[in-house]
Amino acid sequence: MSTAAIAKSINFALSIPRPCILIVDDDKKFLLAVRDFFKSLDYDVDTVFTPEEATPLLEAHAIKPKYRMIITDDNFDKFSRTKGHQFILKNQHLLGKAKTMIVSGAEHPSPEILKQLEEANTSYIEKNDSLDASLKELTIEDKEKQAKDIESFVKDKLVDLPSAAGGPAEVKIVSSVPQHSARPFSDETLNRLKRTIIKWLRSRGELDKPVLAYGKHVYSANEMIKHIEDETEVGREHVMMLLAEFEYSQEINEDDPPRYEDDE
Amino acid sequence: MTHHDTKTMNKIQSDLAGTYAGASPLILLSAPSHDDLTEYTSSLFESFPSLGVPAELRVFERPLTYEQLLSEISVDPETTDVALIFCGHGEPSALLGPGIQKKTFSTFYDDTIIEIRPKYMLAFCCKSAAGIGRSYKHKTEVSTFVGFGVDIGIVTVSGVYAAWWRKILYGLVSAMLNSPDGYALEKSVQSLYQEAIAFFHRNDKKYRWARAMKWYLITQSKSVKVIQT
Repeated sequence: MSTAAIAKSINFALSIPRPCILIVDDDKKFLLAVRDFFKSLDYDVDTVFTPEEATPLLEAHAIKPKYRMIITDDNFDKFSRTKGHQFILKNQHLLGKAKTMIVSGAEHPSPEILKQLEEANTSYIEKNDSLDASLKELTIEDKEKQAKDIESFVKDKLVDLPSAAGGPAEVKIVSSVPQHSARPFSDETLNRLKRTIIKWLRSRGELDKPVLAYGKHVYSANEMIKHIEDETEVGREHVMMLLAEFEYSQEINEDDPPRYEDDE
Repeated sequence: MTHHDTKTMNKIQSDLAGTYAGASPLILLSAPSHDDLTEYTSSLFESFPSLGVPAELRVFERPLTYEQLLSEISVDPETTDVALIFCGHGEPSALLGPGIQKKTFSTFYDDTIIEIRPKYMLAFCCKSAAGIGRSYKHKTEVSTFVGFGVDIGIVTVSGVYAAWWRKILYGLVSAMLNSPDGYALEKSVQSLYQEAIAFFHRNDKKYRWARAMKWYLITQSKSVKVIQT
């Protein structure tokens, strides 16, 4: 009898601090609304009213920058003479890898300043109805980046740990934070549906060509496979579409049921 | 696709130079073009077949509002009925255009300026039925909205896929302008989607992304909202 390799699973707790955001805005209502938005997505949020209050927070973490994102208003009226874009451009050395963005309802800065902001990888977003869409877009990007950072970190830690088959250990990052409202699916049903749709996607070829536009993104087959594996909202919606296709294919018409040959 | 700032392409039918007035609505094909999705959807308006009424196409890559657009083409919404046909990104309360930086958005249309609300609106984008569409229900004068209440999907490939998206867009606009009532409009819309779904169902071994087209068409057919007051 041949001896099958037995896969050994290793569980360990990985402590990862919550990602942290700094919001700088003199409009308290707006400040709290944006704070609540990011808190609902599991970020820790620090809030201050002016660039002068924000600068010491950056300086306190100069050696190991704390913030993943820094969101600032541009115009602070009577509370500060320092504009948000000046605060960002002046403190580049304190920002680490933070994604910076200016959210403003005031007049656009000059093209020269916009260019400087673009070179500093700082987004400029208007305070209007499309702000929600812009913040969600940025959050999605940040979550994807976080997952890659964690995967990279863990892979480095496990580099010396071989898998049962002898090759390098496989690392998979699974979010423990539910990203969707729970729907009643048994595990087996869900897994089989996922396997079906993933198998179909893999069979398409052109796996890295973005062709599946859904919501605000265009996904390649490989990207969609990842969303389905991770059971993100997008992934689950596509699993539901597979079910809807099955329902459609049944062609059940309750209003005009067909007659069958074996009807008496 | 060559890129310019706000430009006019394919002026399909314009019997008045610069000003529009009269009983026929003006079809305003409005397409932001600033990312992979909107570059594709804006191309669907190229060579849009005539519907027998004046039409104007605007593809824009920089922030533009509906109000600014009306001003640019010298349309007075008080004297001209406008059929706004929008293809791009949407939110419940806004149709989105390009922001001033990459990956940002601006508001092309929202309901804050009620006086210039178009008489007809096809919002071929996500979610706008939940907000903008709902506000059409409360209008007192005759008006029509067709849009979607959820995120929608599109297969962004040329060939047979683009041909069917064009057919759907054209069919939706035509139905919107020609249906005698909301019931007839709803029926026309569903018939259009059933035809498209049946095509890709029959041909799902023939076309690589036929199955994904079916998914997205089924979702659209289930979530499309037709509001006619």
